[in-house]
Amino acid sequence: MDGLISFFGSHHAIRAETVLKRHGHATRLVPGPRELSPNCGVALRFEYARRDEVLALLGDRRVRIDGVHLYTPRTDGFS
Amino acid sequence: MALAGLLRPGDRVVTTAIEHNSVMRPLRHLESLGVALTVVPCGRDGAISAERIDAALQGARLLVTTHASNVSGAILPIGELAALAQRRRALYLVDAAQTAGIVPIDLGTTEVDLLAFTGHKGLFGPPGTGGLYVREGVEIQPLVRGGTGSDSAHEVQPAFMPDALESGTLNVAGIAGLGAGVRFVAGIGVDAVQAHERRLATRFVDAAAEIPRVMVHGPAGAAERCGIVSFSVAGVSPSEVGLLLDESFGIMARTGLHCAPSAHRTLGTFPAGTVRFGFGWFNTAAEVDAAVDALRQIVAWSTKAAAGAM
Repeated sequence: MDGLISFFGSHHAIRAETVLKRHGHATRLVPGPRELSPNCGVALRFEYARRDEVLALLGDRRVRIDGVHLYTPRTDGFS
Repeated sequence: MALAGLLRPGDRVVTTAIEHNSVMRPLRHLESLGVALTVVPCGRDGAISAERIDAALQGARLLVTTHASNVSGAILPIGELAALAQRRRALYLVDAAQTAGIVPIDLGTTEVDLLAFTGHKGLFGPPGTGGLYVREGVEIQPLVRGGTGSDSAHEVQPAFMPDALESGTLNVAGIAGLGAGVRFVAGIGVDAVQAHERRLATRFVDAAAEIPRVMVHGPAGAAERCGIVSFSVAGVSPSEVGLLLDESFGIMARTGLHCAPSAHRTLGTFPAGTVRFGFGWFNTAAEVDAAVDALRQIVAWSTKAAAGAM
């Protein structure tokens, strides 16, 4: 997953995860990286290629988001 | 409830720089309404200076401090602070969110006027439960007024406790759950809980000190901290450490600012924040060792990454 959505609060992050999972999107809640958003809390990883579809879905469900980023955490390289 | 119920415009309140937002945000709001607020700075290890508190207390109506920092785990000497407040004729409110059920508190011998605690941490109660101790004779205005099932013929709020502060339908199921948690803790004994958490925290702090690039924040002495330990890993952000601990090791940590920005300014860890472990009664020495081992692996990985080997 190479995309990341940041939020203003964890309520919206958890709702976004529920909505995306229900529609079959690969997604995962992670701690929000500070360099992308100063709003502390959780962020949501997703497939960046499907961002239009994902954003439409979240907009339709009135999930408030802070920002959308092309982002792969370097921790993916941990082994 | 305690802050809004005690402070009026023109009053002065003294607090410390390591408070949680649960204290700081109501205080900042009251400040905007005309309450004078003095925030006394702490040392980098989270220690407070009794002299500075004492000086700030001149003419103050209230002193409010946490019992232990939710960031560094530093325990404050509430007995000593209570004596200072009493001498300066200020009320003293303690935020025991981190310590109720974990660090023994004797309200019979400590001159604390008010003490707020949450049910969902050391007392093993459900989220959304908690309590406020108010010493007899302290006058406090209710935050909420309404039905109490008492004094029903009168359309003004009863003045007697606890009805003065307990309007509306109580969360009986939650309170019963909290009662079960309290009985459980009483069965173990708070001293035993504290000894267990102290053993685990000390085990972690001692082992983490041996790992290069890992820096543990807060007090050096085991007796000055509760089961909370905050640390940083040079070259790896708190959120990265938290993600690796979770996904690769199944270890839960809290990362970031922990709702206490000025506490991090005190520790020198603002705005990055820290990684925090909260060792509790149900944790074991083997789990502490697993966490230390995970940190070693994370440090080894980041060192390799920094050397460009990946």
